[in-house]
Amino acid sequence: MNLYFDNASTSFPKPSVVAEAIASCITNCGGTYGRGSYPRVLSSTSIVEECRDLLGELVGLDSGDNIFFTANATGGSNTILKGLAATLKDKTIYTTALEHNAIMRPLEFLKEVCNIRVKTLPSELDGRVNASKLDEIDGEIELVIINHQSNINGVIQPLGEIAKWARGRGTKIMVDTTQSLGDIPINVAQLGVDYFIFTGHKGLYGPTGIGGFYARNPENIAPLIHGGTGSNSDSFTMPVKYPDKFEAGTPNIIGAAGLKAALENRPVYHHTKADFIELIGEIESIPGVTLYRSSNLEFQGSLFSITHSVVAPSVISKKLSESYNIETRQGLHCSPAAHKHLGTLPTGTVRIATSPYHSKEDFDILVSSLKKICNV
Amino acid sequence: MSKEILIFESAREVIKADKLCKKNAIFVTVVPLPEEYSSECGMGLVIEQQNSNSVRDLLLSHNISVKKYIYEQK
Repeated sequence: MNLYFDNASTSFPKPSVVAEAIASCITNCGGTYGRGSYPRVLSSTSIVEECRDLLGELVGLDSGDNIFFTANATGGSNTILKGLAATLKDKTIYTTALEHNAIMRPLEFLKEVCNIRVKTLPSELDGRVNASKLDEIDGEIELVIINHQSNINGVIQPLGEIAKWARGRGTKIMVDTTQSLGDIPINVAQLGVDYFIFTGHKGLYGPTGIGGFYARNPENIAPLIHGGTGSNSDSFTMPVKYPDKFEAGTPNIIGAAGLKAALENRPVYHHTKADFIELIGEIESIPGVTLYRSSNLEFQGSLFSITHSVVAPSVISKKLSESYNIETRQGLHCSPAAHKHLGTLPTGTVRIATSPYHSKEDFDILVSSLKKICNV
Repeated sequence: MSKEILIFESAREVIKADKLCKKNAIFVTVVPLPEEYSSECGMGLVIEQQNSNSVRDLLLSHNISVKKYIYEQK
């Protein structure tokens, strides 16, 4: 039985090989990254680089050359956006209506330090970008940022159409794949994406503490973190060569070991798409429940949110946990922009975030528990 | 036997070059970089001098840039 429904915060369980790889890295491997040349260093460095290349392969790149590790997706967004501050000065950036604070907070910072303007792409009621209206946008746009899959209602954005529109007008495109990578296929090379950010501990089923970003042209980005890299050690300035330019300090080797194992051992689904759609239908039919999802289930990711006309999100989440051992996350989920668009401020929602490890029986337990809680 | 030490810009390049050479049955050894040649505190590759041209071509064809080739006569 798996009653953990907070996989959008961090996925659980992980493939068993993830823990084994991490334990083996600590117990047997040891050694740092890229400093020295003894066998342990070679092993550790290889783990990190193989993980980088696996990520590149996952998103349709020839290699991981332009993928850089940070602690999480937020580290990636901060590195890109603050690293581009000089070129973003006085420029206009468009986002979707469903962005997370991993994007909105760095943008708010850039509003103050380099006077950027932040606007929202035309959107449907569910927050999905209305691609047919993109050509109506006037003026120069330096960058468009797309949250590939919302962490509130699971809406999957029309990335192909947006990327085509952006490329056509010479606008750079950045994709937040935090909730989508591993769950929804993405081919960065085909789409012509300029930047994307990712995390290892959600849909990739790796450990926390490792994420990062991709940049098609990293030379335009100034490093966010400065420090030792094991290279150009006679200089006080950061190396210009990648990945060292963006990876000062000892990297998360253990995290890379776990993530590498996760990438090599993708989980098998214990439920079908039909089971998931049935779950949505069952919950939507509970009196008083409003379910927040894509208006077209073709563009629905593996998570959604609910509210109830009488029972507050915090009460639903508490009762699910205390009475039924079902773990969910309530509140704003660090995405006030999305909740504003969906009309769920200030209380937010209860988020149901599934994983491949859920069975139809797990879904049935969730539905029956919600029915009891909402029967007021 | 004469050897060449290959110095790279990053540890990633060393790993890539090491794997590529081994995949192509070229004998390479990972070594600490001698301080007289480099300020790196990391690793470099040693190859037999007779393989120099083939290694250069191989690395070039895979976009692996070498910062410096140091010739060492033994």
